[in-house]
Amino acid sequence: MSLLEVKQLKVWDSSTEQVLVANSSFQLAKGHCLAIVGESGSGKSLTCKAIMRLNQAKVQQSGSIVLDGVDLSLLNKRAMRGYRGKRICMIMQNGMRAFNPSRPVGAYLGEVLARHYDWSKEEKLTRIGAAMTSVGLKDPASVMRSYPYELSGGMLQRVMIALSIVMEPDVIIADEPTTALDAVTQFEVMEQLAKLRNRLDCAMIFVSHDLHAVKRIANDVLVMKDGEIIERGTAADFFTRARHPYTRQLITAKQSLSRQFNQLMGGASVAQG
Amino acid sequence: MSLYILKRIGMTVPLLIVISFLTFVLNHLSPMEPVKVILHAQGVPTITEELIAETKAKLGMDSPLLIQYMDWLIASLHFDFGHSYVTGIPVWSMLGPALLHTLKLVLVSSICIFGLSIVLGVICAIREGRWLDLSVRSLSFLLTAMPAYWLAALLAWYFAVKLDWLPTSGMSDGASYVLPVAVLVIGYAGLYFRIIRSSMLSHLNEDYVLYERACGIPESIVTLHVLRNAMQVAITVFSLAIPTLLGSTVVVENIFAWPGLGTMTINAILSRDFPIIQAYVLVLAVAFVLFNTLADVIHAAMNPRMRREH
Repeated sequence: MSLLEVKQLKVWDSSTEQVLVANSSFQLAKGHCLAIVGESGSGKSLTCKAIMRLNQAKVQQSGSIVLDGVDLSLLNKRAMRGYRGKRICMIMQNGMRAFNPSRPVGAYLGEVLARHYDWSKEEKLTRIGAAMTSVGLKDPASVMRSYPYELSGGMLQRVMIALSIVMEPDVIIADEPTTALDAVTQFEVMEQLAKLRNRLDCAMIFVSHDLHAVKRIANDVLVMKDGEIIERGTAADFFTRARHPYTRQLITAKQSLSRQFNQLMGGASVAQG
Repeated sequence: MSLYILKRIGMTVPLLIVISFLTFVLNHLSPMEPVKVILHAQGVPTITEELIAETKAKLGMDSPLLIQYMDWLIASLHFDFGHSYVTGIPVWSMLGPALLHTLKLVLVSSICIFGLSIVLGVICAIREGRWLDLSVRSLSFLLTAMPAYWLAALLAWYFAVKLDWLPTSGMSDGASYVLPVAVLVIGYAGLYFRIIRSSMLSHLNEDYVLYERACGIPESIVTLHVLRNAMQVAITVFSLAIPTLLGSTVVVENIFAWPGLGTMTINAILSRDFPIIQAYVLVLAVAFVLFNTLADVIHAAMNPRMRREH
């Protein structure tokens, strides 16, 4: 029984009538991670935002998005808001830009928690503090006092992960969570995401161009191109038995890059993953 | 932060000295010798060399320019700007009340301009591209494009003459504020609401807005957060708008016979009453410097990065 079922999702721009995502259907089981890969403009982010019904006003969508038996596309605005952040958490691409620049991180987290739980101030602090420590933020109190510009992209990424730990959502949507980070931080954030998934046993949608990261974390893979799903299958099959020429092209490109990298680095197995 | 404010105020001192010096020399840049201007203004029939020398000595104009400047500067600091050439009344006793009247007009207008700009800017940003946004923008375009004197005449004709709801001129009660304020508001709000609108729009496309929404924050609160950030740009522009308004009430004051700075200065210019013109320029320049400083301070106070670093 799948936890999230997206059926015949169609997303289009109402001002130009251009179809951005055509008829995409997929499902996601509890504890599974679905990776959506594809080039920029292929409709990955639009699909994610469509699940949370957060696309811009001129972008419209049809189809059903059923989470745990409830069709999200039929909910009113208020009920949908109750799902956002609590049952579906989003982890944004660029931590440095994901927080309101003129508010301390802690004030923001407090506000989000107050939206979904009736916790006292102390309880909020303890929970978020514990979550921050568990994702490797050593001094939660100082992180919460800080303004976003005082923290690094990797730290803010962890703050988002910590927030999802407190929220215990059913689904986590991570939209290219490592793209804006340097290699070392990427590795650490991937580590945290993998831990998060095991810990909460939630479902995860992981959007990325990074096939290396996909291989690490995903159970299933969707390949999107020009708004359509052109290939789907388990992560194991994806790397060995891809059928669509575009997918094969993606994989060979990755492999040839790794090979070159290995040669340059003197044959070390760094990029093998 | 307080250090920053002190530094910022300290920076205005040299600026004010330069401004006051330029204002002072203004008098001496006139093609006519100041003494002759005074004598002309006082209606002396024949100006002789003796009379000029006598007046110069009387007014201390025979000492070097720098000494004259120092004397004038020190007197100005005590609000003593000399006497009007024409009426002989101390300048401050004319300028003070006029300044007060203009300030009242400017204050009421600024409050209306800011309030209206924020409301319209936010509404138009939220409804970007819809009919409300489009109609507000086209209407404001039409109104802003009208010259103030024409708009003033039009409003005065309709509301004061035809409907007889409001007084045509003067400053008697609250009702006399309506028309001059309306003209100023229409001229300025059209500009400032656009600044708020575009600033809001650029923030609404930021990732943090998406994240706030994705965390389940209601749209009204998201809008407030965005407005707060969008205001940082607008505050600077607004603060500079106040001295600009002070200077640009001239047209409105003359049309509605408002006994303010503008009316007084136009008369002074026509009769070459230099001490009044000098005092007017000085007051406006000081207002510009003050509000510019104020804008910087408010901007710093609103921006956490500036607040922490200074």
